[in-house]
Amino acid sequence: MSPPASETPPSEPRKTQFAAAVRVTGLRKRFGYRDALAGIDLEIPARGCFTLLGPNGAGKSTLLRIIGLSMRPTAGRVEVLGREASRDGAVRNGEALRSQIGLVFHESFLRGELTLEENLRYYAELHGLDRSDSQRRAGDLMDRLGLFKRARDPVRTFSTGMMKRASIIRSLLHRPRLWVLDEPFSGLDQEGAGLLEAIIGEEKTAGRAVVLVTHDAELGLRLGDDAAFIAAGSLRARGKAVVKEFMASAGGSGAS
Amino acid sequence: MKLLRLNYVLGWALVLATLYFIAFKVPPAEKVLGTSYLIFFFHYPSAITCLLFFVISGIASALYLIEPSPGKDRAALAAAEIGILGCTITLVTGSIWAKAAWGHFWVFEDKRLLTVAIMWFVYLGYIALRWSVESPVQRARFAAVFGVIAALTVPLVWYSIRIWGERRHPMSIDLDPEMKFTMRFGAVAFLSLYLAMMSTRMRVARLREESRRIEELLAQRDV
Amino acid sequence: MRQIRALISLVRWDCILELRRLDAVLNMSLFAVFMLWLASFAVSSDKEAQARIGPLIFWIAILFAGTVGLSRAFLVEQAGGVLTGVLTAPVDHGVFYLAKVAATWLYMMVMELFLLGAYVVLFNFTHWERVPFLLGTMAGFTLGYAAVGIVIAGMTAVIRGGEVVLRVLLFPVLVPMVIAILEASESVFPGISLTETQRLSRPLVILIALDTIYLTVGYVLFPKVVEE
Repeated sequence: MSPPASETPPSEPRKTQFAAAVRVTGLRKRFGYRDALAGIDLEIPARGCFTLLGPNGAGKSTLLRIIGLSMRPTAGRVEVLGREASRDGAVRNGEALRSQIGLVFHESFLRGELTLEENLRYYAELHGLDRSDSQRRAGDLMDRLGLFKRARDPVRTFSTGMMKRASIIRSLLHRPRLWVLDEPFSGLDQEGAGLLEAIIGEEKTAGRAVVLVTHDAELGLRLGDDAAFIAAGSLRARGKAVVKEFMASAGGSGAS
Repeated sequence: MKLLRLNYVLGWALVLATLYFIAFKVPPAEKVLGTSYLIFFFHYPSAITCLLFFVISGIASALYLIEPSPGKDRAALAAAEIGILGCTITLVTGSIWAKAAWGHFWVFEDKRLLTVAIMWFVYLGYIALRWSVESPVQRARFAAVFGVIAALTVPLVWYSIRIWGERRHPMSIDLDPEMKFTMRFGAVAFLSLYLAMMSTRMRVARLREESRRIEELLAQRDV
Repeated sequence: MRQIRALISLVRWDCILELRRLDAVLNMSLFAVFMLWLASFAVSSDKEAQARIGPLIFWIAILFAGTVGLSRAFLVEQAGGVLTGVLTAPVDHGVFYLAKVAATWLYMMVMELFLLGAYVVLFNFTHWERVPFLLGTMAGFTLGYAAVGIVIAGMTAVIRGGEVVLRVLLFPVLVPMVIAILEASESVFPGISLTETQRLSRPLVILIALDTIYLTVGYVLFPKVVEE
């Protein structure tokens, strides 16, 4: 699969120089009376795969949602791709940032009544992508992920695994600089998992940033160039070696 | 606390003074409406202050949306509740007056009464919205959004009724200076009393919040 | 501008979805026409009562049936987390609001045209020269209705018992608009001569003013509704 000719979407000027893909300082997120995130300081490198590990309810998904600009922090500073993204920053830089971020969350973001093709066209239009270029790219991705034959089928007929693959396609359509994946391997069969691993590898090689949350610690540490461990809303370990050691001493509590 | 107590004393004192004025200083009967018009000195201040409190609630709501803080949320709620209280008094006194003066419990000619009645429904909706949302942050945010819409409705309803009412029978009362003075005095009296009530309400809300937070902390510690 | 293209896209796709299932237009129209029909029962013999009650029932039917369209506007965004998908796309949330208002306005106008047809039949309305003015007031009213309604529906869609609260919140707030159209109705439905141009223009001007206010306020407030 040859890389596309142009990497930049039509309008926004991209900030190409930034030290870190994500930088959060004193990040807190409160739900009711509970702190899902209790003061996190973390820097995610500008390139490569960053794995986030931790037990259930640690706050990993919350952190990803804040990075993905789907949620606002209660307190603290958030910087994504060199731009401020906390509170007012999220409003100001929202569109510029969202065009460079791709999300694979638990929900697929796909409309069941529309076909896969239509769903992709919908998101291509929302991202303001060039029509023929995005059509070609969608075709390539569908082919790559084995969904080309299902392009004209309504998404509600898809199985869980296919839905996940479709969601992956959707997230890559606009060639995001930052790719955020929350448990992307769940629901994927062996073939799908292999494809996803390969794509993650390509994103790393192309010098883009991937943030990966997975409960499979072994897989996460293999794919990740860097890692961190979060539990109960706080950062417990930073750096692959430290995380490995931390998990070993804590009795392998990373996998849950 | 002392200041609050002083405020209450002042408020009640002013209300009593208003009653005194009504009883002794103002003519006992008006040309058209007879003795019944005396209730107007309670009815009018209530109407004005309740609408004012709704505007205060709206401002607090808007400020909350700009920069969220629990204090602003409490202020918006307290002002809305006091407004509803004032509305209820206005509607009841208005009803009594209407029955005594014109024979039926309701008159569509009184623009103030109509405005207050509609705003009463709007703000009861505000309270209903607050009751329906479980998450505290979401509750405060949604209440603030609707709080702005609701407060905006005050001038819109007022002017709509005024414009529409032009073609209906206008209603006016001749007011001599003593009556005007009593009316305004009554407004100030109610205002001061209601402000005291609002402070209390805010304080109650804050204490309730704190006790809930302490409960949560204790529960977490037990776990 | 890109945001305008995104706006057109959003409205277009909403319409595509609606055309496939017709759940907004069909349900609203059936509801409204049925209400009108039921009301016409009560005044079928009394011509004078027809003239007085008819317009009122017409607007009340629109008022109630419209809430179905408002609820559906957000029902359609719930499966598959699509709302989050749109909110995390590079589309201004205020633009998303305008798209929802525009789509809802379209569906309500279709419903209202059906309702008008039913009204012509059931209440024997033949003052054709007044129809343009009536259509204008309907369009103006519906725009304000959608502008406020979408903000409120956005909130009630995610809370328990939201359907009920939607109506409790919406109807009192719409009173200024209802007053304006009642004023306009006197000029449309039989009883008033059409020579007074001021009578015609004033309710329209008021509706336009209200629409502008509601759209502006909605544009600012709606992002706060969908914020997390």
